[in-house]
Amino acid sequence: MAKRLYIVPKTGTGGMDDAYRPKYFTDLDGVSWNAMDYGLEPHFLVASELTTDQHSALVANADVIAVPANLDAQVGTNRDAVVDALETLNVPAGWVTTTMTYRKILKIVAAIMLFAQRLHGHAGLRIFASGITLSTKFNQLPANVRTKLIETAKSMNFDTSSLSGTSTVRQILKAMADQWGSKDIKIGGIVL
Amino acid sequence: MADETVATDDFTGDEDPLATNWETVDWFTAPLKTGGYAKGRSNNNHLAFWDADTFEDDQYSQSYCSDATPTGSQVVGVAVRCRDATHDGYMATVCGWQNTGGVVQKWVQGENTELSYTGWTVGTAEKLFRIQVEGTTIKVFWDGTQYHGDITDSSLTEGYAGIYCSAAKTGFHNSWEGGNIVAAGGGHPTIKRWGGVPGMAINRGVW
Repeated sequence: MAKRLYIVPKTGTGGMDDAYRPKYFTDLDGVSWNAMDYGLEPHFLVASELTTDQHSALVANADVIAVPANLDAQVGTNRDAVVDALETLNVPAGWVTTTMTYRKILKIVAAIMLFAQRLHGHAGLRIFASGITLSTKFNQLPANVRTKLIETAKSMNFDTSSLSGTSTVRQILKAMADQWGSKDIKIGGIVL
Repeated sequence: MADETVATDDFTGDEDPLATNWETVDWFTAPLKTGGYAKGRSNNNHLAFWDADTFEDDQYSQSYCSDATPTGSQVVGVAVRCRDATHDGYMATVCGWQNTGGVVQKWVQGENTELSYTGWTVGTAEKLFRIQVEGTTIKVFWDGTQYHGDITDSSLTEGYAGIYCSAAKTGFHNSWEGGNIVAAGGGHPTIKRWGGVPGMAINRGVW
């Protein structure tokens, strides 16, 4: 099979001898994979080339999302399913339209993940700490989180105007992702 | 892009733990320097970086890994953007338990995350092992061949070039070099903390 993208949970504790790693993949002996974490959120975007049998066994797990092999296909009638799948993982997805390709959607998803990574690296914070949801407003976040979100955006040379007032976490993450711009995001040789 | 060497170390002399010009990332122990090599000790994880100079954000770390066939829990690797107090660094390793390849992982604010695994024939001859980071792109090379593909990660933005090893009775470091990645034909004076010309950090801007 060709290389494909999957979204899987994290496993591990993040410790010295128990790194966070993509669930299921490290059990596949000799299988190469590349993973992009969602900061401190509990999921990875993974690129890997599996055999048909390995793929079938992997997607039989209820906590695995397999992205269609053709990334340039439009989402079409799968739009609602895609939105539901992403939002279950706390990835805002209301912006997905039927005419978007999976590649375009995944680039925005990956850009959201990269912002979450920077928040982790810059501030040691996760986005969805206890009580925080996609609908939480910026002015409802703890003061230190608001400050760190702004600093994180500035560290990426992003405009911070969305980080204010009643902007929701949903709106903020999309606004941050949109500012990634035209620069490629690469995972396992797949260019988004 | 081109390399601009900032620091080298051939690990001559004996020093245990390795300390001169090197800093150990918190939670790790310092490697052992002995007879031209830096290496680990049983049941220890070693992540250390060259702190006698500063590095630009776009940087590389490379060393010749001698007899690099780690077995069991033995690991040898190179690292960039290391910092001690925040327990940070991107690392590329070859591992004993996956003895035909290696892992790219990151330490971010004390959290350890694997980013990539891929297989290749490590062999026993001394080979150059290199990791480099430019903006949000990490690349890993073994003997001049890139493995893992381009990795995009935005967690870490700055730090120092360094080395990693773990319980490495074999698979140790020889002739380490760390430096900056600069525009080909351009460059600027190497930034030296001790006795050098004061340098200017360049913000490459695009992240």
